[in-house]
Amino acid sequence: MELALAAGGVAAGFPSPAQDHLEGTIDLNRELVQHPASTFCVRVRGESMREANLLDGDLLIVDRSLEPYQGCVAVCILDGEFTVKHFHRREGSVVLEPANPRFRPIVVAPDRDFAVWGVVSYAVHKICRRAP
Amino acid sequence: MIALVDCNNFYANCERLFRPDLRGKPVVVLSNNDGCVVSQSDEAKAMGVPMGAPFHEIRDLVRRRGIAVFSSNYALYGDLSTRVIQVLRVHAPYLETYSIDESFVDIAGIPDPAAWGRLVRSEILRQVGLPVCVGIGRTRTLSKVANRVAKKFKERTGGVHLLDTPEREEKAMRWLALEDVWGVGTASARKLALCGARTAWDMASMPQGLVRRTLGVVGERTWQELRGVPAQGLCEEEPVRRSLRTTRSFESPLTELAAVEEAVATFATRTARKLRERSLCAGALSVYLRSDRFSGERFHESRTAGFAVATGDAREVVGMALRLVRGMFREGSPVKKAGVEAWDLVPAGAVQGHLFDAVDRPRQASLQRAVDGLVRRWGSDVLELAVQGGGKSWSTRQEHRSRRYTTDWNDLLVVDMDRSHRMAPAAG
Repeated sequence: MELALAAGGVAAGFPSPAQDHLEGTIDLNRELVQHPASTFCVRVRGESMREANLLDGDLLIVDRSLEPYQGCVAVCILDGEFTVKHFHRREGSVVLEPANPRFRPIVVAPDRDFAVWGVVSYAVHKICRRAP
Repeated sequence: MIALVDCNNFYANCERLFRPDLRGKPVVVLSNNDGCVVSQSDEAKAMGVPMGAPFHEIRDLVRRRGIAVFSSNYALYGDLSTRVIQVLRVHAPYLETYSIDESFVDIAGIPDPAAWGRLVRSEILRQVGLPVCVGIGRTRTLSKVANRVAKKFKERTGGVHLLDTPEREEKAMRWLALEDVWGVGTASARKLALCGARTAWDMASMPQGLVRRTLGVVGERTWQELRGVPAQGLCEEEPVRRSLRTTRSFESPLTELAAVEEAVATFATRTARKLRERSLCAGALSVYLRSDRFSGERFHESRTAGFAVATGDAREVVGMALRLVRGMFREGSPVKKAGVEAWDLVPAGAVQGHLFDAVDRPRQASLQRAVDGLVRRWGSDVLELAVQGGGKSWSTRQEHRSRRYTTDWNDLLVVDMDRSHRMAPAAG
C-alpha cells in the first residue's frame, strides 16, 4: 500500500519548495513492519477480545521477535490450539486475560502445553464496507 | 572456519509452524502430485516411514499411526526460507545459500564459533519459529560432517557442533558412514568399500592416489576437504547439486515489465538448459527480483511454485518463471538484479509422472532434443522461445496442501480467539 506524499507540479520559474521534501511515499510495510523476517499476518475470529479493540474479522500484525511483556496482546499456543489474549505472569504461572466480561481468564496450569507464538504489534480494522 | 546452518526436517517443520496441534506428532510432506515422501518429522522417521517412499506404499501406515500428510506447499517453504536467511544475514559476515534449507557461512574471525552457532540457532527459532542445526568445521565438507553430528545427537549437542580439534574431527569422521559424506554417493561408497573403507575417517586416511584412481578428481576433492584443505570452486562444480541458479545484475535498472520478462525468460531458458545438460528435472522454481541497493525504493522479493511433474523443458520452465514474475513486478520499482533458481532436482529418469498429466512427455522431450541439437550446432541464438502469454494450465494434484499462510492474503492463518475458553475449564 503506498500513498504519494507530495507531487510538485511542473511550473516555469522557481521550483516548488515542496519538492525539496519529496521523499517518495508512505510505505505501510515500512511503518508497521519493524522486522519483516519475523512478522506474520493473522486474521482473528470471536468476541473475547472486544474491549481491547480486537474485533471479529480483524487483521493482526504479529512480530515474533518482540519479547512478551506483562499485559501484552499475544498469539499463544495452548494445548495445541492458537488463541489471542492479554499475557500475564502472576505468581509464577501464566494467566491469559480476555477483554470481554462474558469470558473468564484462563490460568495456565504448569502441566499444560503453553507457548507464546508471537506478540501482536498492530491490529487493522476495516471501517468502510466498500473497502477491499 | 565454515558453518553450515541447516533447517531440521524443513518442509515438515514449516507445516507445523502454523499447526501447533501437530507439535511432537508425526508429519510427512509429499513431493509434486503427492508422489512420494520428501520430508518428515522425527516422529514419522521413528515410525519407520522410509524417505522417498511412494505415498501409496505408506498409505496404510499413515492411517494406522495417524500421521499427518501434506502436499508440498512451495510458496510457504520459499517464503520461510527467505526469512531464515534474513535472520542469518544479520549474524553472518558472508553467506552462501546452498539450497532452500541450507546455507554455508564463512565465520573467519568470529572469536567463539560455538557461541555464535548457539546464538544463530536460538534467533532463527525465536524469530521465524523453525529449528536449525549448525555444524562448524575447517571446510564445507567438514561442516557437513559436524552438522550430521549436531542433528543426530541433538540432546547432547544442543543442535550445534564444532570440529575445532583434530581429535574431534577424527571422532566425528569415525562415526560417519561413507555414503553419508557430502558428495559421496552410494556408488562411490561401494567402490571405496572394496578398498576396505567404511567411514569418512577411512576415506580421509586413504592414499591420495588411490582415491583419485577410484573416484576421480571429484572424489579427490572430497578427500582433501575431509583433511581440512578447502577445495577451490567446490560449490561451482559440486557433484550432487540441490539447486541450479542463474542470476544477473543489470547495468541500468529495468523499469518496464516487458524488459524484466525478457531477462527472466532468458535466465529461465539458461537454467532449463543447465538442467538438461546434467540430466536433471526440477520440481520447483523460484524467481528473484531485487531493486537497486542504493536507490530510494528498495525491495527484494522472491516467488516460488512447484511443477505438476518435475521438468527440464524450456517452455515449461520459462512459462512458470513468467507467471511468477508477473505476480511480483511493481510499477515504479526498477529492477537491478534478477534470478531464476530451479530446485527439488531429480534425475531425469526418475521423474514421478501422474495420471492426469496433460503433457505428452515423450513428444516434448523429442522436440527439446531437436532444439538442443540445433543450439549445440549453431549456438544459443539460433532458436529462441517466443515469450508467450499464459493460457496453459499448470494444475498440480495437491490434495493435502496447507494454506499459503505467508504469501496469499486470502490464505492467512485464522485464529478463533474464543475457542480456548470453550475448551478449557475457566478459572475465576
